[in-house]
Amino acid sequence: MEKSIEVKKKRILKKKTKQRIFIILMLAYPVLQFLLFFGYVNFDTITLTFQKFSWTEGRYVYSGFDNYIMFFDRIFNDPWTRRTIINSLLYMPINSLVILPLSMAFSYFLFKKVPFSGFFRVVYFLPSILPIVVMTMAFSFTFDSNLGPVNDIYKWFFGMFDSNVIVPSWFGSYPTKQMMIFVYGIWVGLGFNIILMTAAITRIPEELMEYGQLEGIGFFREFTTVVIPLIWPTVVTTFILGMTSVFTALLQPLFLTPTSGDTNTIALAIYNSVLQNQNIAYMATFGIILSIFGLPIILLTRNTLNKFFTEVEY
Amino acid sequence: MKKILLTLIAISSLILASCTTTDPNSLKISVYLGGYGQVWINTLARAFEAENPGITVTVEANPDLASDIPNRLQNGSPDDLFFSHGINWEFLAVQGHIEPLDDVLQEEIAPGVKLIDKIDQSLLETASFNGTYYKLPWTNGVGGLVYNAKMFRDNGWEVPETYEDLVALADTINEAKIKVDPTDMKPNAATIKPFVWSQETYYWDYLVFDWWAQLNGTEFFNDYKKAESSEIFNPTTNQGHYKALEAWTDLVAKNPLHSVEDSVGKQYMAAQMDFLNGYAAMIPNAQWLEMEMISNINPDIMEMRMMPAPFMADAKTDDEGNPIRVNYTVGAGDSIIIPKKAPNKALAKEFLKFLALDSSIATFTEKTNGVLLAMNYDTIDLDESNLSEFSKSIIEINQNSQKFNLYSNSLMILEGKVGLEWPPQNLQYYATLFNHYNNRDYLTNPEAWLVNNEYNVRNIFVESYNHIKDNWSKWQSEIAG
Amino acid sequence: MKAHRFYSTPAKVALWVIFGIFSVYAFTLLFPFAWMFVNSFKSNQEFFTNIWALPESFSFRNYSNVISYNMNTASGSFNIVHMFLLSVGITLAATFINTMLSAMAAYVIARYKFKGRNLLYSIALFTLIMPIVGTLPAQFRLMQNLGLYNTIFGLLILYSGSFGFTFFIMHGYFKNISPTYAEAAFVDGASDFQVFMKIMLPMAKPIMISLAIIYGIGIWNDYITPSIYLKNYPTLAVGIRYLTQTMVSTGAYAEMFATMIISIVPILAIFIAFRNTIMENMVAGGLKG
Repeated sequence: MEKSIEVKKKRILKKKTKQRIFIILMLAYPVLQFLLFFGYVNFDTITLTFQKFSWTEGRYVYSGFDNYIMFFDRIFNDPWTRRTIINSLLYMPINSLVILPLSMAFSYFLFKKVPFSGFFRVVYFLPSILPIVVMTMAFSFTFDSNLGPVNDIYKWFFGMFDSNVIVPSWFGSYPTKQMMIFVYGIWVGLGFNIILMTAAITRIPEELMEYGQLEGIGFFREFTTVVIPLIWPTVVTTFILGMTSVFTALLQPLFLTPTSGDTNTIALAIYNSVLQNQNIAYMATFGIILSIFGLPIILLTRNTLNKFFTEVEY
Repeated sequence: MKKILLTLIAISSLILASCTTTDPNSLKISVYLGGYGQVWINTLARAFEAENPGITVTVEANPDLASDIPNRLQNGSPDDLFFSHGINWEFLAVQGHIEPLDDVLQEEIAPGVKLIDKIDQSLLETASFNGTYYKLPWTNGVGGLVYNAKMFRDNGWEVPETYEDLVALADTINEAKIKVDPTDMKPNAATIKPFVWSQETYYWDYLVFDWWAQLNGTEFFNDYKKAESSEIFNPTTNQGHYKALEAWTDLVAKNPLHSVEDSVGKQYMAAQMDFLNGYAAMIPNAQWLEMEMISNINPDIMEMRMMPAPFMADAKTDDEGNPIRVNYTVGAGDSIIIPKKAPNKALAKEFLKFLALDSSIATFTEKTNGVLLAMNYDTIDLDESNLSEFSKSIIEINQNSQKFNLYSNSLMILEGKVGLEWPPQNLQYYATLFNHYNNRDYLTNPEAWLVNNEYNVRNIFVESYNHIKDNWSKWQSEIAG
Repeated sequence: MKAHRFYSTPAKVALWVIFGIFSVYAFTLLFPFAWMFVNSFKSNQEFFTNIWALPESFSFRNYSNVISYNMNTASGSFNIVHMFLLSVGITLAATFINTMLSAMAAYVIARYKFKGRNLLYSIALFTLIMPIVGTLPAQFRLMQNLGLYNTIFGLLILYSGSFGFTFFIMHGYFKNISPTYAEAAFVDGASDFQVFMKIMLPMAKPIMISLAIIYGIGIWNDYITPSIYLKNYPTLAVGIRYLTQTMVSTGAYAEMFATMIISIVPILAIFIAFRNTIMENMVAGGLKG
């Protein structure tokens, strides 16, 4: 009796050890890579925020909270810092309050079999697979006064009402150029979100959709009372991911308005400082502080949004 | 897993390290590939090899070089010599990554002539930091208004000598309403405009800074560049800056129709192509324009020339009462440097001495369509048959003007706390001024609109000065050492 | 999904209005490319004489010229074909590595109890929704110190982060698998590893494929990371920028259009061929917790 218990214990122990080895092997590289490229990198960055480059010593030296003090000084006193942050913040409503609802509506109607839905879906997804360099160049050429059609069409159309029509300078004046960057973002961003939403809508069980049809409710009611609640988790995820663009928007202003200071964003400012090897420690501080402020806001948003419609399993 | 990873890392580092060969007879030169092309460096490389049998020179021409140089300097690379713009060399020098050049500068390249004597004296001061020379200045750039000489000739327009001439010329061109395409019968067919430019508005600096120097005199910049106090920005003592911008405003901003439509929003290449296609008579640009556009210049439409900066009425005059010619050195930050970790520093220094020979200097200019090295051209005999008219116009300006630049190695400037070109933050005001006047009310009734809406240009500088004054000591305290 | 055939008239009108809006949007997406496509057959000079005219002759001269443009880096000379091959290789390798590693990590964290399991999950969630900006200089220095800067190997390591979006979807999926599948196999004496490889992975194949496609598209188009960390070996996204800028700087607009068309044809073909797989499998739900 005791012998078999001993044997059993040994077997269980052996099994547990094997299991542990298995877990360690499966997790080893991911965790190591994570520790190095996330943990260590962030630790190093935070260390950097407490340093400054000394021209007399030719290296970085400890500088206490100087960079942090400089950050708060710039927030209050430097309009360009504020402009950079505001520009970045504006990406959030564009993504989450314009692109997202629009893509939900588009997906819904594509689902409702608007004629040529299949073709539209392919075309709308195109910007997500094409190189961003190509998309931005196509976009800016379209608005050039000699190369592109927009100005000629604008003058022809508005010229009918106003013989002295003046075409706005799409990329030459602020805030028009910033708005053009947002228009570009909507133009290319709809497609990807449409695909996500479509996938979510198609997973709604038929019976639920048909129930609405039988009741004779129109598009609007069906959309708001049936579809949205049932795809809500997807909506929340996409909403949150859209908020992160505040910190990552970089290529659109870089390619659409290459030498402009007034369309600067957080990510672009940091990218430029790394490229030019200037003010690196301060820019790291800039990024870290903004990230710290952003975290509770994002978490709060996620928790609030999740409360709206209790999840239905299907 | 960890062990495997570490081994892999070790192996790859070993492979990378073993890639550097140190052959004492080979020289590697890496140059920024831009408007100058690479024919010049290839020619010089072959000439150097010819004079030094047994030596091989490899050339890398790379448009992305500038952003890669800091890494190459810090980590070591096969490069012995870099020619580039946009290197943050002071930052790198102070960390010990750049080879000091004091010794080679004192060596003779010809009997009684030291290398340091051949360097253009107005640019020599841009090459040292903390008392040591770390680079050779690369080019002596010329900028200003480039014009289409053929268009001028065909229409009987004269190159303006004074600012007033330029204003009158712009009016003439705009009123002439000459169709760009004579066969275009549409009622709103495009007509030739005086100017075309782009959203990279800093190209106007090359003209506006010349006016600034005409008004203040080039000696003004000696103190200005030291950036020792905020007083240098005081518009009461520094009048040239705001007056030059006022002159630009009167010429360009207040005449929105004098510029090709939406110049302020154009991509810079679209603007250059507009110029080449005859949409405008003049374009603010610099010495690389011809080389950059060489494959698209149509001699039936375009003969490119650079005009000397027209004189402001209050320009400083010489003893005989003639206004002094000045020219802003474009690209004063361009550098030739030797990495501290270069495999073959001695040979790189030999190349520098070779570069300062008259024959090399002439080769450079001839192979870049007129670009001047930052060297003394007094003794140089350029083969005119190898030079285009554009090149000759650039060389003429360079040799007959007082050159000045805005390079500074004050720590306030290097750390970016304040900018010298357009205080406080080096953001140009051209777009703001242009957009201010480019509205329907002003265009239909200028005088009435101006009564209440004239943009006070001087005020820009007053506010900027006050802002800098208020923040000066704070900014200084932010700099470590 | 049944086709909804029995719409009322107002509904039909609404649908046609929506159709109009959709068409306009689709037109704006297609028009720039159609214009570039037509213009890519003109000579550079012809293009500038009239940007709206049809080409005099449809010659492929521009397309053949594109191959002759090279991007020169410290490691050699790359034309558009090289860039394309580099992109294909890097995308396939990175996608495979990332998907596998994410699945491995997700499986273990979802189905095995051990200390630190919840901590790992929370940290991963944190990193997904909270991009810490400003870490670029530190990451840069790390890559240099490890000798990974400017190496393909290094770029792949950067791309192999396994606690991202793929991880979360896989985690949700593995968590919802009923334990009976595995139990039967364990009873038969299978090891954990065998259960994973022979049962779980094959089951997860469809979802892994769609996640791989999403991730792969991101890598294919990624400009920033390779432009900083792999300067010597230009991928298509990076190389296209260089090539188009070079062509614009010499006024070779028609050739530039040919380049852009060439750069999009392969991925377009793949996308059209696999569009159903891609679009039906894009899942983004359920980041609770």
